Amino acid sequence: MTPDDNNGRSQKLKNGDLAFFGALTASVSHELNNIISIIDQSAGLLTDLLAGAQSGRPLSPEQLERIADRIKYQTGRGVDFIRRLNAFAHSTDEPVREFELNQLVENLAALTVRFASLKGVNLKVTYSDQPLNIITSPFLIQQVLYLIIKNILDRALKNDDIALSIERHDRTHARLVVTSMARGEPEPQKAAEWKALVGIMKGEVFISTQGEKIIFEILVPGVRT
Amino acid sequence: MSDIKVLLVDDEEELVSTLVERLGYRQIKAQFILNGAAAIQKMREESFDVVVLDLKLPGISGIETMRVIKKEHPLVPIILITGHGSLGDNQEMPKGAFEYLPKPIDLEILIQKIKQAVTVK
Repeated sequence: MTPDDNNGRSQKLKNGDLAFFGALTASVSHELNNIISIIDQSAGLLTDLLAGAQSGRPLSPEQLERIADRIKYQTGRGVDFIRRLNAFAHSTDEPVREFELNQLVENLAALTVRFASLKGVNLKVTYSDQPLNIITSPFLIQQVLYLIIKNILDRALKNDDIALSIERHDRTHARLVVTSMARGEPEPQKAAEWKALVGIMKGEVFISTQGEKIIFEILVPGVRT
Repeated sequence: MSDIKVLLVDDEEELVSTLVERLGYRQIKAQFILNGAAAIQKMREESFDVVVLDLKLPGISGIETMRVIKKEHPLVPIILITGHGSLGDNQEMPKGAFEYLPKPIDLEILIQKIKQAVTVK
């Protein structure tokens, strides 16, 4: 894949690209709001305890330590979300660049796991044994993975599993496989959209069923040898 | 005020457990539940004066949880909370909700709404 292959997209993001970006940032902003809410209430609780101490209620060091730990933990959780969101946002900096595929998918999975947990679905990612450096579009890979996972979630039942694996397919191709319970076929226009997105990267998408499972296989060229 | 029983429903345990503690210091008896299905079950086992319910819950959504609770306990007011900053320009408060509060929650406003909900009930 060359930058020219993605040039039109980089100059003018299509509606679908914006919808993906919007859905992900909305989800993360929701998470950050939850984190801020916990820190806000923890600060409020400290104020309550201090007010109580001024009126003679004993102040428990253990309780103060517990609140401090909570604030510290939530601050770390927030920093992690911001770091991941920042990495995601910068995935649009260059239409095509070299990156490590496992790291990219790990970041996307962390940002999208909330979509799965809200449906009561488990998302499990298996990474390749060795680093997989690839030259292609990080944004398109994330977008197509998100769209497939979202499509599965739209039909999934509580306690369903989604398995996502990353591996080297051959000397030049990476292989991403998403497997879940088959709860119906994706609409033909959705499958066509995914194939078109992966096609920009000169890759291919294969959709098949195996017993009760549906398997989405994405082959992307550009793996560094 | 000490007789008011509130059920808080949100999957952020550290948030609802802190709110329970803070409401307790203000003589409001509160309990928390982490998902919609457990909240519906809890309401069948125990009576509450007000339910404070997050819209985004794992499994059964907040809206669906509210629908079931309102069907089974039509007189119990429900205050919805959401991590979205606001309702947005074109959104209305979901039908059946007594009030809709954005996170971060202002505790004094929440208590004010709880009092209003009990009075109206």
